[in-house]
Amino acid sequence: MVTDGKDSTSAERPQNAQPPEEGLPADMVGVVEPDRVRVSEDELRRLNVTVDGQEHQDVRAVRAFPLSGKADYVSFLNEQGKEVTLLAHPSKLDKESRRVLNAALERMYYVARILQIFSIRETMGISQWEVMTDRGYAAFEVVNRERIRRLPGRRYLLADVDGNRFEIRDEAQMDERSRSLLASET
Amino acid sequence: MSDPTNLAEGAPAVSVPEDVQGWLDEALEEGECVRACLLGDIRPDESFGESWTFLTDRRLFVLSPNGRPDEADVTFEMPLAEIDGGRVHEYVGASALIVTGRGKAHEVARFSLSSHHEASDLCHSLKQMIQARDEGKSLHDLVLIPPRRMAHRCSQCGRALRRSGDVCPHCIDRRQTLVRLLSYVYPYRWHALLGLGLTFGMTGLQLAPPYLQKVLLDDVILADNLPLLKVVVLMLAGVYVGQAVLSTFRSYVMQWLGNRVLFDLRVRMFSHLQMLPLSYYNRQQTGQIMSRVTGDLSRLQFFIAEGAQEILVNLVTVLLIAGILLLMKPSLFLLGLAPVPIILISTFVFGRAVHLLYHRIWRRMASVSAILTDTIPGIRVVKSFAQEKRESARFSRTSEDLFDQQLRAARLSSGFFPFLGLMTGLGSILIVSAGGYMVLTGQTQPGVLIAFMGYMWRFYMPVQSIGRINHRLQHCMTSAERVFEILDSEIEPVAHRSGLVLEPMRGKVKLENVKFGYEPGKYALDDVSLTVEPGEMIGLVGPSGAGKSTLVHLIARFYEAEEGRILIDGHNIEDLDLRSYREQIGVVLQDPYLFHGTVWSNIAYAKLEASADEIIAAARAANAHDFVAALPDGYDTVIGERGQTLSGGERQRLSIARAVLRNPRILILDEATASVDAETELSIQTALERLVENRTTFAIAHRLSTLRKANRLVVLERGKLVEMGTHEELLESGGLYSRLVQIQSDLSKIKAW
Repeated sequence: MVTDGKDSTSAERPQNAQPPEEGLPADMVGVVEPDRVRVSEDELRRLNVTVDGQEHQDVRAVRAFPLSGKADYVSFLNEQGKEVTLLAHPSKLDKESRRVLNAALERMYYVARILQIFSIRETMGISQWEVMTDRGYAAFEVVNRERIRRLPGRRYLLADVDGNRFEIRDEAQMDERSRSLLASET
Repeated sequence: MSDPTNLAEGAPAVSVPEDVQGWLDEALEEGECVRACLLGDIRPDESFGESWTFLTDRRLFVLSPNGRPDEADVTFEMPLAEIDGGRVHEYVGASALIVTGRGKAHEVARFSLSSHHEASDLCHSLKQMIQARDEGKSLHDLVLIPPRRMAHRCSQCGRALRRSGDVCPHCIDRRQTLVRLLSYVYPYRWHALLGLGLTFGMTGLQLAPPYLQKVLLDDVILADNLPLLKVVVLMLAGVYVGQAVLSTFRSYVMQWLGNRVLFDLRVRMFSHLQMLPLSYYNRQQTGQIMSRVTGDLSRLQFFIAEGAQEILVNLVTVLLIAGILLLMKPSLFLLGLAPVPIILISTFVFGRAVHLLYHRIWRRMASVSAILTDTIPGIRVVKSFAQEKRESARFSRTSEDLFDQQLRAARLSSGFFPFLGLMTGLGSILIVSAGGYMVLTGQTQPGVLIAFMGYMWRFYMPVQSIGRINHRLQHCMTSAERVFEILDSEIEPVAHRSGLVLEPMRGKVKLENVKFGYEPGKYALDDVSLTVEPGEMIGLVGPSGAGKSTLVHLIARFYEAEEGRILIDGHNIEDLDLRSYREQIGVVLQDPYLFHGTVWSNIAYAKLEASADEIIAAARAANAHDFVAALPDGYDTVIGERGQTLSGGERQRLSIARAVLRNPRILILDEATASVDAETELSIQTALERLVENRTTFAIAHRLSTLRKANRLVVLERGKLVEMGTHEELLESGGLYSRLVQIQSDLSKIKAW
């Protein structure tokens, strides 16, 4: 039946009609290669980005795909939240720019990685977690189950009541007990 | 607690732990007083660890513990005279306090979002102090205005709350869930007692047959006693008839009780849900709420009707049988007890394991129904992108997850019950062998053995279920908690605060430094101040996400401002009687919701007792009368679940008629004409113009032409009020508004061309 439908539509198509181009044009993406970009930080701890010699002051660097990492693009936003440039391959920036940018991104995405779950107790829909992270022991509360996000690759991202973030890189890397506690909670 | 001598009057109370107070006392100079404090919980090396930032009337400094007990170092210090400003740098997972001064910016502290409010308080205080310093005022006597906001943590125990300003489930006077549940049964206690009595009667009758069997064997068959046989037969008949009768009555009484209590709870829950503030619904999935009203409640019904009594009855049965058997043959009974510990322990262990699994299953079920509530309403999008297969795959993945867990539970329980059967079997083997030996050696009569076998079966069953009491109770208690959680969620202020009744309202609205955010730390409205005179029409303009809808939601009091306040005719909106206030507010939304019912009932939703003339007048004012009259059943036409049989413009006009009928003092038009074509818009527009007259109106519109009647335009951008004035003034100033106008007139030229 499916093939029938296909045949009939292709037969009805006017012969002079041009099929649309494959995908969207590449310049729509508007990424800038690292050789045109320099990143610096000034005395007032503001992040500045220079694209083709033009400087934009006090910008914020954010990742386009902070969680999935589908592409390593970094977006620079000005104070109004408007993008000034979208940088591709930030790892190919010059050394100093790379250092500044990495520090800024590190700062932007402060996420403690959960290594072990000691306990999860749930009362009245609020779950209290006690965990060991790469930054030390932490106890936090999750009020909404929507804030436990399951990402591909047995990865989890949690946000506590205040919005602080915790990550489980790979569920399988944790010990049996932690895994079992997690499985009951997700 | 801080030393009160360190505080100037009116300063926000700064309370720190005792050891920190010790460090602080050491660091403070004579007469220096603390105005704000911030706990930083991230060290410069990004690991968790604390530091304390203090703002005093002289300086800003940071105390960090240096590892030695009772000691802390001043790791940063800057005199107030040198500070130019301070701000909070917000990142995704944490924030930093940045202070500028001496031509440089200094990162004073880093902290998780838990301290975000303290940090913005500190900046707030710092700003006021810098201002006072520049104006040459004394900083010591400065009265800081503490920002006011709602807590998302309990003020008593510090535990997280599900929603800002919610009741803390740990701190309210919460009776044990079970007691609370039974309190719903209390009004029907006589029914409950009757049911209980019938149940006990039935249990008693159930215990009779094994004893009669003993009599039959020992005293009738072995004693060759024909007259006694008649008695035994009659008694057996009586027992069975009695059981049938009692069971009929019991079943009805218990079902009545369960349904009755469920009915009470269900009605209570629904009316409570109606009273919950909108913010509750923003954070809960509708599917989840609905499953609580249906699923959890029916589990409670089972508990009330059967579970609670079963537990009691089982206990009584076990005790009664134990008594009977002890009287008949103590030694044999003790032998039969041998498997009991194994049964009890294994049931308990099994119960725990299965509870964990059930919890998982329950979560997976929620995920399955979440997909349903997500996909079914979005079916048009699914179909238009031909993603039916993908959605099916997604559903089947989630279902498979559920299936896996259910299989695990099945494996556990399939293994367990046969094991229990084996244990019970073991008990009867013991009794048969020992009892058989006793009968053969003449230590007891054969009837006793027969009765024993009958009783032991009746004994092990309640023992098993006693082993599961804990688990079953827990199962019901989680359901009960979920139900009570809804009942405990704080309802809108209207129900427990009778406020000031302003009737009629004049409609003067004043916003003073209003801040509001849907998420902690992110303001959807940031420091908005605005005064609107009665009868004035305000057009709200700005890009999407600017906070326009948030602003009108605050005015409609769907939410309450976190900081600052809203005054209606000079009174704080929070002091007003919500009901009376809402009755004087009319809201027309972009996507009007029409209930299932007639055109009439939908218009009259605003005023149930409206007369036919009033309804028609309202419909005429909304330009709705003509099309309504043309409907097959006129005003009595039934419109579908979401008004499917009407066009968008027609539905919108009905919702305007609804608002007209209400005759509100304050009118809110939230994109009322956004989703209709130009011609319909014109018709709605004229209807709205009639409606707007002499009412304080807040109108949100993307099409700026809609706002040509507005007295003033308020331009919002990213939560802040950036421009205000008439159309001409704003055009002249050449700001955001003039840009928006330019873009739209360019667009309309394109269209015209």
